Amino acid sequence: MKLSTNWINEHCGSKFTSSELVNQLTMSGVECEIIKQKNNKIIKFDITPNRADCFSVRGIVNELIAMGLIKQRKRVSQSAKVEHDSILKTKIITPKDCPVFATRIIKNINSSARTPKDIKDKLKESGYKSINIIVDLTNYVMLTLGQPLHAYDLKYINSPMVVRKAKKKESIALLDGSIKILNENYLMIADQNNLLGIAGIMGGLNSSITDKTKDIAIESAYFNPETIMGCPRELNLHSEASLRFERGVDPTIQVEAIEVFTLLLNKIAGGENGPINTQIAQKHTPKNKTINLRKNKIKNILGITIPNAKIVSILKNLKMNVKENDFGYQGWSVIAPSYRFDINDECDLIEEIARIYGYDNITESIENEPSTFINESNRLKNKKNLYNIMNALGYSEVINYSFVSPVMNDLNQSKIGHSMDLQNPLSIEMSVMRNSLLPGLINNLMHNLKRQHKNIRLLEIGKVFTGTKNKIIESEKISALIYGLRNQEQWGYSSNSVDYYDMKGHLDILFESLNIYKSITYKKTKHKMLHPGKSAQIVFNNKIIGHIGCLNPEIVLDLNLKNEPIVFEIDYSILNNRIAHNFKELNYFPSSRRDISILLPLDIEINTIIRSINSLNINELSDVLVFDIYEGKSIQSKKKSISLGLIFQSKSRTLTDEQIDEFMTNINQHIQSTFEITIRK
Amino acid sequence: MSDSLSDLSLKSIQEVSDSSNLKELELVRVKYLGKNGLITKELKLLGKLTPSERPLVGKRINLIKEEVQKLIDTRKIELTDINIQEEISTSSIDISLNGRKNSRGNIHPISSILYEIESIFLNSGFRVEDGPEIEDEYHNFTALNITENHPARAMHDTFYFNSNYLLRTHTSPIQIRSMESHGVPIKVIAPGKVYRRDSDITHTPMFHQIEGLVIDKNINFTHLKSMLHRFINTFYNKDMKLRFRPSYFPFTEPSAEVDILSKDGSWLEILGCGMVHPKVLENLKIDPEVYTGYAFGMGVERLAMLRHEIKDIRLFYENDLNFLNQFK
Repeated sequence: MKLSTNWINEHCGSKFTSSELVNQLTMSGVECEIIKQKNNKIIKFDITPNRADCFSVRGIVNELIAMGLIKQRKRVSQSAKVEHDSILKTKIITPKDCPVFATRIIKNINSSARTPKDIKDKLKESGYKSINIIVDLTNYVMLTLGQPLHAYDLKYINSPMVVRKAKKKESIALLDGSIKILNENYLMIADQNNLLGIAGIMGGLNSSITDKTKDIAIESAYFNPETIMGCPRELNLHSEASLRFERGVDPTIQVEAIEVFTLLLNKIAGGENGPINTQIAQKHTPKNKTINLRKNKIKNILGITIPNAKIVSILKNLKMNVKENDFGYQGWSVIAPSYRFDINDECDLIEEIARIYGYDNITESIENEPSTFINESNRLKNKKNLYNIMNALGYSEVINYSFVSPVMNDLNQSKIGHSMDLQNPLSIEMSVMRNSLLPGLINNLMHNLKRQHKNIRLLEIGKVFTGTKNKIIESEKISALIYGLRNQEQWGYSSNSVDYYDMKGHLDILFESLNIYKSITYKKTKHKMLHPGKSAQIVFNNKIIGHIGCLNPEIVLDLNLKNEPIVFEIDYSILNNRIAHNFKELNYFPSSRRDISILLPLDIEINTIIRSINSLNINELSDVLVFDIYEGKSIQSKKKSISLGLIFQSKSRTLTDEQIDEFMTNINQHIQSTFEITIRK
Repeated sequence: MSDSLSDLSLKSIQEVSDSSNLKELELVRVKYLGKNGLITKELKLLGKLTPSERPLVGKRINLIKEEVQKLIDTRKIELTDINIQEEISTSSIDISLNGRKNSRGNIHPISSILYEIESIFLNSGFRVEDGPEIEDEYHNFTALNITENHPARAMHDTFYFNSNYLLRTHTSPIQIRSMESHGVPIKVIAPGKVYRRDSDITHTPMFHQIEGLVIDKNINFTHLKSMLHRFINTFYNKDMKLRFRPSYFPFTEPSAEVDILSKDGSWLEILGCGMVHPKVLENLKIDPEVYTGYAFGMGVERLAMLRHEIKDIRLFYENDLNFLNQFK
């Protein structure tokens, strides 16, 4: 809603500047700002959903009164002269939806009369186009009082007028030219033959006011907000009237609004007025109940003591009915004015007192505030550890949207149940919840390659979603992708492209930091996104916690990539398995190393040899390292040569050559008898 | 005999002092004092002498041996020192050449801000809680006093899966869930992703919020003001001027928006807050006559945009390394 400062001042007989108004109203909770272009004389209001009463000049002025900036003035109500006795017969079928319905017939209007400049200007400043005198005045009254009015060309009404629910699949052509198909949710204004409009939202085209209109029926109603609510959204039809009706207009001003309209109309365009036909269903009109306001509850919520006189004056300025009550505790009985739909409970009154008293006048305190000592949570510890490691290894964190295109979800094989599809996505590219973070990382890779980055390392932490309609599984993952050179291009390094083992090494560092490195094993696996020969399941304590591997060559080809990206995706919860690093006594005895080279078939995993050596449980064997691997020329085909360095160290003595020779004999015999291998040296 | 010993002594002394490097000096040592060295040989010949001659000559040879060894040691120190001095004075590198490195990656600016806010509240005794991103109507709306026809539902453009499940539109349902599981008193913050059907220069369909909730006996608005003021001062690392301005949220009453005074003198909205609405407490079977509390919530992107002077929110989700690498 936009209103000119001038209009507000005129209404309350003051001379506020725009910025005075904006500052004051902002601090009372009416969000507003000056529109800069128009000589700073127009204010734009952003009314919160609870404050339907502020949608008019009168409503804004009420706020100024509440803040004590201006005095309350007694309202003088005037009635227009009644010159004939024709009324529009009305039948309210569902009074619950339409508790107040007032109409008046005005005949012989000079509809070619020009709208006075003053009114035209005000409407223009509020963003309304001038259409004709009748329509302009309905808008003018609505902006002044907050009551939407609707004028019908009387000629097109086949009396009586009926207020009823729409029938299924009934349709109507509206003022804006659109045609809407209706259902039983909509409240309609109709006559004997036709639908005349959707109640509280928009009038129909057939009975609309034209330049030739002479006789009108003016309608001023109070519709139940719950009847209107949701309908504008469903129809995608938000009108100024619906905005006010769905939040609630003052149920006591329907007649007043017709009178104000009639007086203005008579003055400008003549017309002969009939009596006002008002139908009120008392049972359904909202009534503000008496609320008990306890003095100690105000203190309890706000934490300060506000003097009684101040409380009473605030409530009275808000046009509340205030009586000291006799319930045996200090307090008041309060009734809010008819237009304050938002005041229903004690806490609503406390908020009113607080905002008018001024939040700035409430002090700050830390008394009685509960406090506990909390160790830096594992959550932050885990995150810090992960970031430290991954950032140091060159990974930059990305954050992708949680919804992706169905094609991206299909890339991932783990289709447990069905995917979570949005009913109302923004686009097909963002229509299903991701079941893996990897497609997002591949997108980021492609984006950054286009930006001419060559060596890319990405990390994402986020949830993936799988499940069925009844059971949704959200699980948090850590995923990463590397692409390009092992070392960035620089002098003194010749750099190769990264491969599976670079990324595996990065995971090793992560698992070492959690002290679970020795409990992790890798098993060959089939994963739709990964190269079947160069990928693995990561297993921790017999549980698969994720995957690592080179991207499937078919995807690499599709993406037209020069190099092979390597990725992993693991459960975030693995970070919770961190084991404290216990101190081990330092060993001061010297260690000795023996190297062996083994020729073995290509399909034997090196780790099985090492595990086999370890299974001998030689306490003095402190480490086994792989320092060379060779396949190709000078080696039998389908064989590979590996070189192992075995480190021996005792905790209690210096080992002799003879002792170590004995261990080595033992080891050589064991692996030769277990595997089809040749020890070369 | 004694003449030849004198010659040997003089010759060896001369050769030690003539040696010009450590290698030469070592050759001299071997020549005279080695296993088959000339002086060593003289000692081996002692057995051929008469018993009366033996002690005297032996003593003399040993004296010579000791003297030569001492001279060798001294010369060794001299030569080592010369070597180091030469190394120091002659060798040098191009110190301007770039160091060898692999560049470090970085944390996403949204994650850094979330981390920072979480730490601040942890230090003030808040626990961190997590919740599902796919929520049900009850936790996202109803329990928070946003009834089916409540006008506030229009404020949220919600992504739906079906009539019950949706993508949470705020982190407030986490508060409900943590009250359900922990009861009161409670002091938690709830960070996370939230979703609204919106997309333009200041809106992305997914963004991050962090909410806080404190409920206990005797908690009131003065505590809320104090906590948020201390938080904002800590976050900005200086004394900040703020204003609390009345506003509306269905789940708090009184409700407020908090603005900070910016460098150019205008007020910038940075968070929403209020006293927990008694209906929310009643929904959770907590007696509002006994317990009161406050809640607050803020948009993380907004804080990041203000801190880094970023105008377009969509940059956060493009994941362009040229953008991300600016936040080392």
